[in-house]
Amino acid sequence: MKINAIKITPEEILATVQKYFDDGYRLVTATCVDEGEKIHLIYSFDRELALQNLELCISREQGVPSISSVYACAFLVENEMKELFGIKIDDIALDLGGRLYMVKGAEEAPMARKIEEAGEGVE
Amino acid sequence: MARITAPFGPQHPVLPEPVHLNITYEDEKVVDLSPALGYVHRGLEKLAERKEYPQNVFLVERVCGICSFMHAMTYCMGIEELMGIEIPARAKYLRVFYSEISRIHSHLLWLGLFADAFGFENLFMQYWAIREKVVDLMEMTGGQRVILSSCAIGGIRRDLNAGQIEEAKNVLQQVEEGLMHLNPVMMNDYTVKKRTVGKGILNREDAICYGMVGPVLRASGVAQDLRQTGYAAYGELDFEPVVERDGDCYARALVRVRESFDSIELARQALDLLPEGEAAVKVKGNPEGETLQRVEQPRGEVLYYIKANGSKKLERLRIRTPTFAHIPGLLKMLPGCSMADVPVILLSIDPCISCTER
Repeated sequence: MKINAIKITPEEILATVQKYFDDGYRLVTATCVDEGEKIHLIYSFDRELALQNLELCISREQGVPSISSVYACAFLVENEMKELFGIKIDDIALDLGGRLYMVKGAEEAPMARKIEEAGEGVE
Repeated sequence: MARITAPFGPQHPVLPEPVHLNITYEDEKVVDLSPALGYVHRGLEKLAERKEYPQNVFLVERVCGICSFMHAMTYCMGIEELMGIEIPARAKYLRVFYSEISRIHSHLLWLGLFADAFGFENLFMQYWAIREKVVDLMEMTGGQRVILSSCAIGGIRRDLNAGQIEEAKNVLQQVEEGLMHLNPVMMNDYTVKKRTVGKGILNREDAICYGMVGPVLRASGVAQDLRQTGYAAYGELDFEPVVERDGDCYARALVRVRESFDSIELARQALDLLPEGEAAVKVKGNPEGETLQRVEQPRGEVLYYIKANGSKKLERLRIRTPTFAHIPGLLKMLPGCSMADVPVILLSIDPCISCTER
């Protein structure tokens, strides 16, 4: 299916996600699409098999608030995005401090796209 | 009372794959836990950006050996949507057949492991003896015992001939008879109930709030199964999701027991209604755009996000597997339980760490 994501800003995310929670949606996941300088975060929600998506566009330096205060289960995917892509996510309910997958001394943000990598696949 | 924190895993007799939980106990009661993964992380999502999109079919099959066909199918469905490919009707029914024998294989594997988790080794061996017939069926039809490589962009790589269809129906009959003989033990035995009833309860609201999927969600009373959306040929087959209401380990086992019979019936329907014609169409060009695809795997909903730019390489492939969705639920299921119940409750989510860590 097409994404048809609703575009929101980091300032709007908590209130918007709270509304989804109150309406009985299940958090499916969050997806990080790293374009180098810009990062897109897509939050997917399900209710009765219908998928709704929210999309945030942020710069690499910009932080986003954690939604784990609303959906407790978000802590896992937020730790993953923080650790593997280097996204700054504030106030994760269970912040594993970069130790979900990685060990001390490992390369930081190993799945982040370096700026020179962006568009590498274009022929 | 003094608290102690002790590791559960990564190596533990009930864990086929390594997952590590730091569990805090008061006496023998669990009061807190935090997960730590990373023992088998392979970076497959990143690797998918380096491969050409047809090669990724074989890559995503290796996300998980048990759900390998359905990983490939979900990926293929996404690429087919981006490229505007309509697959033949025969391929849709064959995808149902392969999906359902994968589900039977997975559920029997889990039922055996679950029995082993509470020390019922004889039941474990009996379930795996039946599972062996399914694995043989996969070899007879797909050519491989685990990673089938039957799914391709545009349809199905290996069609079935009349002899294989007949033999597949015979095997499904044998599996059904075996399960009818064995399942009463899982469902009625005193020991099984003693170790599973009332353990690791997740009510309906918590199951949704904690993002549960698949049999765990349905065992908590939520009648949601992505096969209801009608992908592949499910929309043309007779199917109702299996639901239990108690939300405990026993309910999760019952859902999988009942789903095994449903899968046999769906595989049978797919073979009976299998249309004539080609099983695949030729694929030309490259995908462009972005899509989200969801499929009901044995453990629950899998989600694929695919972003393509018109070249042979994808910009992004993201996979959210069912066990990744289930891990947060452990934070609700385990606190309050006794130390001895941790392995059983953990097994009840059917953890696949290979999937989770991709």
